[in-house]
Amino acid sequence: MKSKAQHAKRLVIYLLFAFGFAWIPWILMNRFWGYEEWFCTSHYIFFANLTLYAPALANILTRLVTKEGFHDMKLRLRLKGHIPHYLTAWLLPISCALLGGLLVTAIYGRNNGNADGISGMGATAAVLQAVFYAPLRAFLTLGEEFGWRGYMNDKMKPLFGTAGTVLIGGTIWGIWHAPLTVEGHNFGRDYAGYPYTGFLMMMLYCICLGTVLMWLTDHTGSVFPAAVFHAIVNFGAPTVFRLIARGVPQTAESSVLKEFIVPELPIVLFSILFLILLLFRRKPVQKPI
Amino acid sequence: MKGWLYKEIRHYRYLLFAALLVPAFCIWMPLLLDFFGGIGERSAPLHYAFRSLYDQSAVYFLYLIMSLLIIGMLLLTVFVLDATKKWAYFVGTTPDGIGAFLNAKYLFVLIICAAFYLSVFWNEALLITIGYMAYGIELPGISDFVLMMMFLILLLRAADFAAMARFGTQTGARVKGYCLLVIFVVGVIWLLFGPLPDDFESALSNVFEFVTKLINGTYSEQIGVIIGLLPPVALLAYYLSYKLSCRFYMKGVEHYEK
Repeated sequence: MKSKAQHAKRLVIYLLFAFGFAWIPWILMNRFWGYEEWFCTSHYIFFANLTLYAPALANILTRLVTKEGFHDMKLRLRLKGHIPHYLTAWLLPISCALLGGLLVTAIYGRNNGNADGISGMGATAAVLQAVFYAPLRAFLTLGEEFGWRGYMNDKMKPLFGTAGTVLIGGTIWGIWHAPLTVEGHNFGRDYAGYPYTGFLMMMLYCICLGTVLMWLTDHTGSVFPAAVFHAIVNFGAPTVFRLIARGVPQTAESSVLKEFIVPELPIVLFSILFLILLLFRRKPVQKPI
Repeated sequence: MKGWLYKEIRHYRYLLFAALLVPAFCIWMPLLLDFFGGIGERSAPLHYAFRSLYDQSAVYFLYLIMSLLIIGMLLLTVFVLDATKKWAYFVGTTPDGIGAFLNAKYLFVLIICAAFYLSVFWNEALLITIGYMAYGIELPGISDFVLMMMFLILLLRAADFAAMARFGTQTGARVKGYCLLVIFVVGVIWLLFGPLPDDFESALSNVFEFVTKLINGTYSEQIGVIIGLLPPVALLAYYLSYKLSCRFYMKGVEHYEK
């Protein structure tokens, strides 16, 4: 049995690596090229994608530095018996985007005109491509999941328990995004309390997403379902949301509330449900030898 | 199952190397050709090479399509090398049986496709970044097009593998050859006697325009729906092909010559 001090030491080393490998290039790229240039265009796509693997690299290096070894890497697909988990990872973000879009439309109303000129066929094509191609981008989110869910959570659980891991882990994950959030990632810059409310929002968002991701990883023993979920949240769900909510009139009302808080309500509710499932999960009974 | 997969990887490791190296070769080759061709002609040959790659992106696409064709053909060899009666009967007697053997083969082909796509993605990303950093040239991204094509290849291979399992690799290849011959003959007849457009050049340029739109993602909505449906259709066909192969494998063995 590993001591708590050993887990804490490994966790600190992991976090130093994960933050160092991501923050140093992000800050440098923000400084020299500008966020809009390196993150929002494909000009520096190689570096932009490479930095997403910082948590994965931190996982491997921490294991090497601490001589922990490479057991329990959670890198097996574990499809057998876990198809429902993969389906959850695939369909839940899409469903949440759908619900979020409906919610925004219900609250803020809808224009009668088809302002952006997208036909039904065009919308179908966009949704199909978002639903079926986004999971294939999981190789880009695997780096984060391999680090945060595959390593950090395992080290945190003995120290803080399940609820503590969800809260502290999500907060750390949110802070990790800070160099991007400060440049306008997800929320832009035009909101009250910039950038501090943005940091806070990102932490809350990461706590919610982290809960579902932790549930998926814990139940399957693999980081792949979490990577699929994360890929759809990043690359598929926004398209579905925009299509559903495209009729919402563009007014001067607080954009963060309309474009972020209300649409994310479904995922917040689901994360509460998954937190309950995590807290009341029955431990697998070990058979006597 | 793990053992079968290990056997596939060990046996066909050249395919894995090809999946990783062929796209790299095809992505960097036009640049290198332009670079070496440009020495002595220009003061900054690499800049000239990048500019040339950007200006003549059709050449770049042709190289990529060539890499797709190469990998598509190489995938067929996964079935060919194990096509002996002795081996097939041995497989039938193993505890896992034919199902696990074919499962590993089908899975291995998916691994090859994934390796190919990843190689395209990262090589392309590097090329785009270098092009922009060094010379401010924005090269077009083609990895989405390649992904689409990978599913098309998977769809075709699903039909090939099922035919190979049912009729044996040689007869299967012959059946496919006959089908292609029929298509070719029909095509020739159409070209000779069919209602061809008056302006053949403009028809040809329409074809190029269509391919360019496909690559740039500026295709029509109907094509967008077809592209969206391609992954589930291809994967479903691939799964059905696996099921059919399991069912007819032993019948196909009777067609093996050795």
